[in-house]
Amino acid sequence: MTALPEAVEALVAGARPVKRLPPPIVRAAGWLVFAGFVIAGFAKWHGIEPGTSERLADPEFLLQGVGALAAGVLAALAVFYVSLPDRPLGWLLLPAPAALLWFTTVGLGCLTNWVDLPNNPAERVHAVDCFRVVTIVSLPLLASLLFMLRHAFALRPVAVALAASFAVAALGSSVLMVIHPYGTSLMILGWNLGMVGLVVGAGRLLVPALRTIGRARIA
Amino acid sequence: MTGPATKDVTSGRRDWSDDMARAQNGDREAYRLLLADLLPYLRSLARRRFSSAAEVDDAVQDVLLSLHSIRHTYDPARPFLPWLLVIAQRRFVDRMRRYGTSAGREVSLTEEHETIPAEPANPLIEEWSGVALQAAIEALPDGQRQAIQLLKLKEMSLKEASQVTGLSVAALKVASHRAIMRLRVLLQRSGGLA
Repeated sequence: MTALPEAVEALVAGARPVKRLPPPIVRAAGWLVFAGFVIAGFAKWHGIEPGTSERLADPEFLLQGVGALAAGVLAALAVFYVSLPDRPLGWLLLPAPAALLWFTTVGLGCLTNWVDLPNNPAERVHAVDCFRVVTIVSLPLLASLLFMLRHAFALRPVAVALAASFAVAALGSSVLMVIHPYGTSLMILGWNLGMVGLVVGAGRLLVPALRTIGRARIA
Repeated sequence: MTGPATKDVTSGRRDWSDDMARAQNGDREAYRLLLADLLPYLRSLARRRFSSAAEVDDAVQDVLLSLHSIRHTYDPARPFLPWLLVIAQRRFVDRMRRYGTSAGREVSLTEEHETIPAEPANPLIEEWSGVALQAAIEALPDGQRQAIQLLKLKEMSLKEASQVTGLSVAALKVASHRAIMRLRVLLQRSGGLA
């Protein structure tokens, strides 16, 4: 155990200038622009689902899309605020009304195919395509968001990771509605929560070890 | 942020926010003053949650490490204390969780454990073993006996024993090793070793 004055000296010796984080709203806007490019690129590559303009005339479809998009944008904004130590966790409630709108209009969507797989093997193609699309859209968004929020894993790992996965799921779901024939909301939520579960679980195992290494470095 | 560090006129305390802003810019002296200033404050917070001095110091060290690793997240336009308190509370809770896990597997020693030796299981055998060991040590050659007495019975370090005897550290190590081998043989012969 290092005496505290010695620990202070060790930290001071390693204190290089640091670049302050920009305000959370600026960082959130930056990530949303990046997400927009990723999604636009995917939409261009995959193509828009035929009949989308007719589906948009359906109020329920429109509400679901608007709800998911708003929930995604607001959750992204909220998670950048919550990632800072001195901002209240109440920010996490910001996307709640939009999320409510989204959830009230969500059906089983793609999961219907998964549920029906044993009885209808022909659905396997659709189900696999669904999972592939969800993965391609979610992976870069979730990875980039978690990378931008990495400083928060020392303080609020679970809250930040859950909010980040929700933001990606909501945003991805709103866009996949117009480029994929089936609703992907539940699958994309499950995918992102699962990935974040893995990240948080790995963090739980690694963080104590990293902290021990940190203490050893100043010892 | 180029002028000298300021003091809060109401509390008379250093302006931690200003010090932190300077530290972010690489001002090591401001960082040193800030951390030194925070130590008694963090200790007083930690004492409310931890009883032993070692636990308090470990908890404060955890807070300092976290503060250091995420110091770029502090916005000098906002108050410093709420930022610090969240970090401190988080680290204290983590430590208490770890303590809660380990405490379930440990039994604390009381004052009685430390001051009253346990009753020997079989005093006659222990006394006899002690006599046999003493006799075996007496039977050792002079150099080996001296090595055992200084290194094992008086618990001197090799360096201290070397100064007392004038022998080299290597010679003491050899003598001590040979003495232990010899004692094992002598005690087995006398039945003092199972």
